[in-house]
Amino acid sequence: MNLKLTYTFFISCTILYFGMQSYAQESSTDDYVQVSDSIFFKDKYGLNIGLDLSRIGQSFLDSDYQGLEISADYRYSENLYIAGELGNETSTYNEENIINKTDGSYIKLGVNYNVYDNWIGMQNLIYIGVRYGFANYSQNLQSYRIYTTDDYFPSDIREVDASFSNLTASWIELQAGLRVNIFGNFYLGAHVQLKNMISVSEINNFDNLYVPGFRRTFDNSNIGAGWGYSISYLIPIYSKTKTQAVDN
Amino acid sequence: MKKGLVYGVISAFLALSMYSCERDDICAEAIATTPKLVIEFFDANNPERNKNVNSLLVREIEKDSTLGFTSTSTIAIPLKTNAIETRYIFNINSQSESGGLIDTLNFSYATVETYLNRACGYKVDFIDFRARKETDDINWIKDIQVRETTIDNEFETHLYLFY
Repeated sequence: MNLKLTYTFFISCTILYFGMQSYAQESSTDDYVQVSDSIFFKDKYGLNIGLDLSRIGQSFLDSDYQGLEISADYRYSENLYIAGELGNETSTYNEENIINKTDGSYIKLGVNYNVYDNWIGMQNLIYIGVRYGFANYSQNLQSYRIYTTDDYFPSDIREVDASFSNLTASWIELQAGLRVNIFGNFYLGAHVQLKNMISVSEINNFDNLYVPGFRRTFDNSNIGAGWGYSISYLIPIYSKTKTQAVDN
Repeated sequence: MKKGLVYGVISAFLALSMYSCERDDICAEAIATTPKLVIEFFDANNPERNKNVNSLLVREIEKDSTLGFTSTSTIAIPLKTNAIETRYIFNINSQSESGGLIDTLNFSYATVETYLNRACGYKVDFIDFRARKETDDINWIKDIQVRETTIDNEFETHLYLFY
């Protein structure tokens, strides 16, 4: 019986060996294998880690802003990605009547759904996504001016230096963007964001002028908007062989 | 179906971004900011009737510039927001050869700061408002009467002045 199994194993290995050889002869590149009228290619699955370039750029150009954001997504299925962002922002609102500095961190978690049908072997994305965002931050009201409708008395500017710490906010965010493979495992991405505030800390006799991750707030609505450009690197974890019929 | 989804998302973004881009960094005139003190003038001999002032000059005691009013029975003057009292010199008939008559009024109060919005900043309302004439002898103002001890708008008259 043992002998029989050994023979079977041996014969199987021989067949497999020759099979592999013929397989290797037919494939001219690593990624593409053409057999009869179908194409097989390897679809990369992995973790994509990105760095937001728009925030780095704004940090250099805008003296009232400092920000950094890293993003990550994991390809869960063919078109579904589990995605998130982690960031830190410092923004100063410096206008005629109020000077206020906001400083804090945020996290966003959610999914991206790819709606783009790639050409064979390409890994580009046009996606829509949703996120739940949460921020923890502080505000420092440096000074404010008492608003008067006439200038008979000189401006009454109060240098208060009042701090409001441990503020939190949460929101739902809708994203739409694209990501293009530039070379190797490097990608460039751009997206826009639209968000709706769910909850935000109340401040006695003041307001949340800026929320990290959410960006600026509006006095009469819960809506916010944003955007981002990023460069990212795909760490491939595994590949799935995908088959596609060929027309000719 | 996918194309429709993309177009739908893009148009939603456009519509909502226009909605959210409404300017709110300029303080709108409609916003009630720091109120002025509203004074109404009455005829001392007939207290039911308004009496128009003629070339009234009002000057805060430490300032050189004046606020001028004429042919009106209601005036509005600012109060100092960074102090608890404001003293004004009221000079009536200032265009006459004699230079008219002078009285000094002292307004005292407490201030309350209220946040308005990011464009306007804060306003000050005045509470516990009191007014008194600084001299007992009558030059031209016969009597004053505080009508509102809280000054938080300019629609109400806060002080009646009889002369």
